[in-house]
Amino acid sequence: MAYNVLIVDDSPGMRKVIKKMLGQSGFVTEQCLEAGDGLEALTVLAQERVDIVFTDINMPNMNGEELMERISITPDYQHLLVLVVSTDRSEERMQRMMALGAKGYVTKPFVPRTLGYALTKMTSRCA
Amino acid sequence: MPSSVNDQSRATAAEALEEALNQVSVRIMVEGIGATVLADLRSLGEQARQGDCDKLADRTAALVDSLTNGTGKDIEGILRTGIDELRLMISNEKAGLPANAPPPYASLGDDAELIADFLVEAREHLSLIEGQLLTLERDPGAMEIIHAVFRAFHTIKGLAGFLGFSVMQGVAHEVETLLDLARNEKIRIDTPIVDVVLASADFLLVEMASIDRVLGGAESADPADSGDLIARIRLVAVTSQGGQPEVAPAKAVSVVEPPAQPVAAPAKAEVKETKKAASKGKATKKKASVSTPAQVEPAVVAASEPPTPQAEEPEDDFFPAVPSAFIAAPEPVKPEPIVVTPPPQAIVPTAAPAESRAAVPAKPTEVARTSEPAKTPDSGSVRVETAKLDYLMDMVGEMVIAQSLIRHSHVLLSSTDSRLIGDLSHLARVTAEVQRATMSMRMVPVANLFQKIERVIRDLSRKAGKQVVLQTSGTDTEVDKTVAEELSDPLLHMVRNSVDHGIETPEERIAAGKPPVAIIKLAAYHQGGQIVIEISDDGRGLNAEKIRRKAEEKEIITPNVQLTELEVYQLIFAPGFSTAEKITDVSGRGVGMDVVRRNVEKLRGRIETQSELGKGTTFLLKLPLTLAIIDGLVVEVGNNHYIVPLSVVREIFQPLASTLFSVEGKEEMVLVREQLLPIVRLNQRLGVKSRIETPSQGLLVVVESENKLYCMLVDDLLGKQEVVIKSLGETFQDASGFSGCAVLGDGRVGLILDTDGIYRGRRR
Repeated sequence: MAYNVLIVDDSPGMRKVIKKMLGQSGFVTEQCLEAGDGLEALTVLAQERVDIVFTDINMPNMNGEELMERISITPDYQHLLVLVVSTDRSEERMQRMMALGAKGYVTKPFVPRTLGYALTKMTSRCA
Repeated sequence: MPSSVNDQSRATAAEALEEALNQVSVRIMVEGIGATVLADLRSLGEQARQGDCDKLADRTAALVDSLTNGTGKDIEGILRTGIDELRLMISNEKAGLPANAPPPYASLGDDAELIADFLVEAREHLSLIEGQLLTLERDPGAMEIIHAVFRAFHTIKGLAGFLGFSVMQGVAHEVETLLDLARNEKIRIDTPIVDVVLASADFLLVEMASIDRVLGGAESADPADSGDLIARIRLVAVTSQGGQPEVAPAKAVSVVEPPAQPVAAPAKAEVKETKKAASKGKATKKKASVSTPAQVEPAVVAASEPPTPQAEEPEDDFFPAVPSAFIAAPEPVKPEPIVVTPPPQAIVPTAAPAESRAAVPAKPTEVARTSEPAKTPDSGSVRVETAKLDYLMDMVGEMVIAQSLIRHSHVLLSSTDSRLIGDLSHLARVTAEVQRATMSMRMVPVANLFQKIERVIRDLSRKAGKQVVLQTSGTDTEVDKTVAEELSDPLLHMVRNSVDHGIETPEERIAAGKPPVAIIKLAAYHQGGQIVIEISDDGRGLNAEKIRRKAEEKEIITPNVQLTELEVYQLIFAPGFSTAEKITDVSGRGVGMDVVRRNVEKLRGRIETQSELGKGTTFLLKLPLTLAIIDGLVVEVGNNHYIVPLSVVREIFQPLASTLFSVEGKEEMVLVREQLLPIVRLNQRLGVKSRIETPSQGLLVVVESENKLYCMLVDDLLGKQEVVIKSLGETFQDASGFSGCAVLGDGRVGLILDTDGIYRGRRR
């Protein structure tokens, strides 16, 4: 199955980098959507079929944590696999994101293989 | 050659080798490069040999060799490259690829498009940061802004990391750490913080400019040394926390103490080697290796208390680990998290590498400033090359001329076809509209220009020990892009002069009965088809007597020559003039006010000076709205047509013989509104024949030039016309009295008069 991915990051350059990495990761995706913050992400989620969400944490308007909270309380979004993509390496943060329902956590910068590995792991576990 | 069974066993061997290599990495990190590391590497080589991975074994042996023999060389670099190579080979072995296969992905650092995008984005962020910081300095509690600045550095750090700009990444990371403290209200934004963040932004801009040059095909240069800057940022972070080292123990100690002392660093750090490991695609199975405290020799481990959140020392993986600066005890790994996401650097807290750089006593150094123009594109806009706009502008100019030629055509003028006349006037309207629209495309608000000045005033006044606030108005006034760019340097110079020479020290100000804080005002507004930029200060004012003496000393004027006060003020713009009694590093660097005037005149602008001793000085920069088109008054002298820029014309009249005065040996004068004005006969000045003999037969055009009025005598007035300015070209660029030429409505070429030049050269 090919997945629809939504990349949520406030930096257009970063979204492009992640997209590129995704392309090189060997993980097959069908569609790659983008959003600039949590609010935009929720708008996209309401309109498009999305399987995997990559989210940054630190974003204006609605940050990654708030986005995760919204996803976790929305019944329609329970199938979503959320991968946190952040520069924050603190364990505290990771634990919190996991508690909010993140299925994966990749720290920036990463290489395509790391991303591919994380995605394969996430999807096979939840398949 | 190798059977599939053999491949299998080699893959298994490679996995074991990977573990071993990871342990080496950990050891390097913890102990630095020493005998034990070499021993580890040797045994890794043995292991490889046994596992049938000959190439790996050879490479390891070669590495050990160069490490043992490479005294004095860049051991650190050799080791790092070596380990990277080994890692790649191991990963290839595991995947059953030839050992020397290239990395399985293209390096993002070579992707020019991504880099260009990064530069654009980073510059946008940095251009905003400046204003945001200045706001923060006034209102340190503005959380929204702290967040915004934090995010900017955060983004730059992230992208720089991906693209391999590790120096930029390092600086952005430090600033992010500093701002994080502010974000969590552990520190309050103050002037030193703003200083250091601004310096960091400058540093990043300089780095980006050099990346730009490399993209443009220049030789790649080594990135600048960020060591001093980083030390400075850390020092500020520590001092801002009011000397409470327990808040950030590792950092505080490492900055203040010499590096020799072992320090327990309960730090969650990601480590260069670990990261490198991941970056070679080996995301798996490193956990065990990095997190085994047993691998660390007990003797060098300093016990540490459990990490506290405040003690979250930022990783310093951007700098080489220097042997045994301090040792940290790695925390035992947390139980397997709910989800396995492999990049182990993300999950496993490891030892913090030595903060060798930070340990060097911080010495604040000035970072080179850039005058990178701020680029803040509005959303929903299209970027167009300036060259294309210029070409459009040129073509529109030609169109305006062509349209004007048609309008003045005799055939059409005598035409009675009402339809044709209507169509022509429609064409005229549309042409004018197109011209206006094209011109507006080149317009930019002066806000960016003013912001740059705000920054300069801030830095300068502090350096000079003066207190200055800047008041701006009319920041949304738009000027031609070229004007804005060309104006930047002169404006900066004038402001520098104001701060340096105009503004007194707080003590002097108090003694003079003024408030200690001086005010510099910057205003932009439209006035009669011109843009006026006003720079005024409430400093000591220009001292006409002193200027005069100086000008005499420097032989700019002959002693005892009669000069009005305004003429004296104009002397500061003369080449070779400088009132600075001593040369500071700010002004007095050879770029004087004469350069300022030249630049402004190049833009067809003028500088007017008003000053009152003890009260302050005001400079008015008067500039045309556009550089390409002027409203001109077409005058005739003999058979020649000349264009006088309408912006300098005050009035035109035919003089009565009774108002004319001619004093022997002096120039002719005319009485206009109870004021005696000198007359310049254009025919004499330009060396052409005139149809008239006395001024009362012709017309006098009163023009304003360098703060004073004079009259130009012409034969006749032909009308007013918008003309597109064409340069005279190199051949005639020295022709005094002309600033360009233009095609007139009847197709003839008219010379555009430079009224200042005409007056200056009148006695020749």
